[in-house]
Amino acid sequence: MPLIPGVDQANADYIAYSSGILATLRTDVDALRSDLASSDLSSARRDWLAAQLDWERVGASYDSFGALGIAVDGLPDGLPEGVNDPAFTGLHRLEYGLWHDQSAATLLPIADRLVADVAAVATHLSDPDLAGNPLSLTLRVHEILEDALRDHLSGIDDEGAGAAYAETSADIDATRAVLGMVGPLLDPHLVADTTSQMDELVAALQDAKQSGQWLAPVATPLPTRQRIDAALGQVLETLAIFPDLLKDD
Amino acid sequence: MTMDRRTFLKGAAAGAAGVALSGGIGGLIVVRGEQAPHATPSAKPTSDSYAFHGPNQAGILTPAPAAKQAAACYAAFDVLAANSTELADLLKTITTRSRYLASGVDPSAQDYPSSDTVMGPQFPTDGLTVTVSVGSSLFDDRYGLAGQSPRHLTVMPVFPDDTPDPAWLHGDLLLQLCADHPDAVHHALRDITKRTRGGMPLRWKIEGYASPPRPSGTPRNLMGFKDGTANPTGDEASSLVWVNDPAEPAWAIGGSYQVVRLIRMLVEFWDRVGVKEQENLFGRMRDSGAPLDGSVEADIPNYAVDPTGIYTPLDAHIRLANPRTAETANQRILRRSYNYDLGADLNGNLQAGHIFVCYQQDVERQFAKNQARLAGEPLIDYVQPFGGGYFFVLPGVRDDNDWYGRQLLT
Repeated sequence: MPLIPGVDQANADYIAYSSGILATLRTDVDALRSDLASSDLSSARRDWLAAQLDWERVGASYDSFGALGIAVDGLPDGLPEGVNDPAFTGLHRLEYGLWHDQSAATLLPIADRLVADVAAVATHLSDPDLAGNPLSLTLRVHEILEDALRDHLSGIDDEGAGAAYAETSADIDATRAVLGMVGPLLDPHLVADTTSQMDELVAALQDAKQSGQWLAPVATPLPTRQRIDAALGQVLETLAIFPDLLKDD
Repeated sequence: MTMDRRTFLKGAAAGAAGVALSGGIGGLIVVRGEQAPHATPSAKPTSDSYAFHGPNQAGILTPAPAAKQAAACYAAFDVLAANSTELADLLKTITTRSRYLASGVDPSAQDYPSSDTVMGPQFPTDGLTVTVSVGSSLFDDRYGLAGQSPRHLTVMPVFPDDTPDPAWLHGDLLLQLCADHPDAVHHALRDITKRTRGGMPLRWKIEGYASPPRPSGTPRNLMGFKDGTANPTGDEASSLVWVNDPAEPAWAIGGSYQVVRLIRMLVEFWDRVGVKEQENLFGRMRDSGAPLDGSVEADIPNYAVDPTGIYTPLDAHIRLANPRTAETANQRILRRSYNYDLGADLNGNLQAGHIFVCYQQDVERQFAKNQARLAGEPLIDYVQPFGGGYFFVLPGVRDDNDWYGRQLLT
């Protein structure tokens, strides 16, 4: 699939960007592991959120980093034993344990494995199955926020932390970063419209905080939730045309 | 007379004669057993009916999927009967009511009138079929049926791309109710449950609707693609659907393995994806329904000359589901699916999708093999299977003295 000039360079920029975020993720996962090693579950919950939001900012939406990405961010769906399945591992497995009274000793081996799995993503980041194929960047422009709608705001990937809005906010960061790479290749008016629609989404999210905290969507009042859903839906309709604009056919 | 799909398609191409007929005349009587498409529901209730008695239950090949009724309900129950005698009584009651509902009755008959007037004071059959099936859980130790289970009946496993929701899964007994209009489906469910309330509480239920051809050929699913083009028809369908293996328990001959899969379609996201990408995901042209190496819907894709997926991607849905090889010929299934619309999801999206229903002789040889090939297909980004189950359709009710499951329970 031919792409318009400049996408290859934009993808090189994306790899550099996500490589930097992965370095932060590795630091935060190390901290999470240390918390569990010292049985400090309160700090572990805090550091889990930091790590999860790092992962969102990487922008590996829609399992676009293949099996290595799923090892970091997979869900229990599709596993015969669900949350109790030994194949359920990674950030959401730790989230489940941290918000369901599991012991630090139970979770430490899972954190050990996560450390290795995040390292593997960093090592293979430029492989075509992960971020190496520029075509995947054209989809990433809209799929990061499609992921927020499908997995976060639906409640599907909430394993107990109720972090959907924080995750969505981090997804906006990732989408803005990607837009910064491909935006110069496109009509400035379109990019400006998209940016202002994302600003409205950010405002809706900020206004949803109660005493500085986000609640899970299911616990958030309907009018507040609707404003977020509406703003996200609107920006997604705009972002949907980007993949075609970045292709040359 | 039985019209197979090919004949039907020719008819459609020649001017959509059958569609125009049934769409234009309210209350058209369709001759029993004839598989004419009555795809456009008329405003008036119809007096269609399908034979209730026979070696196989109606609602599978009678009417056939290409001519299936416009409205459906799938209602799963858990059985609370205290013992096998009470279970038999329950099944006798379902039989009696289903016979009335599907065949029409004299309103002065002893066990009539119905307790509700949703269908008015008369009792139009409205093309109703009742199809009764049972889940593997019925063959536990409650009713002395352990050891009597159809050989391949299990609890539906969790497949790799599933997002299972326990509130929408499994059940001891499933009623498939299909009719020309939704009120007849609702009425039938209400009539049967009124008389079985103490013995079988509802577990989950979902209503479905069939789309008419748009503009012709096989109806489209809610992703806008024609769905069911390759369904077997006629004798071939019969040979793939009805259980006839002597190794099965004798009571199960004439039954069929039924798979129900409730599949949410992420229609908002789908509508934000380009047509070419959609076509590569399905393996068909969106407008015509033609395979990607063909020009009209009826064309048969020739994968043998496209081994690297130049025309039809190797991971396109229809290519994985039915590779059209000699080895996979007996793995084909009969699909008889409906659309559903439920309400709104937590994120404000439409809660809509596909009630995938298929029938086969052997769920392991057929559906499970297809499903294994589909694992990880790219289309899965746009759909979420969340409910349903494996069930076994009981053999047909033979005559006025017979009842569902008689051979199993006596």
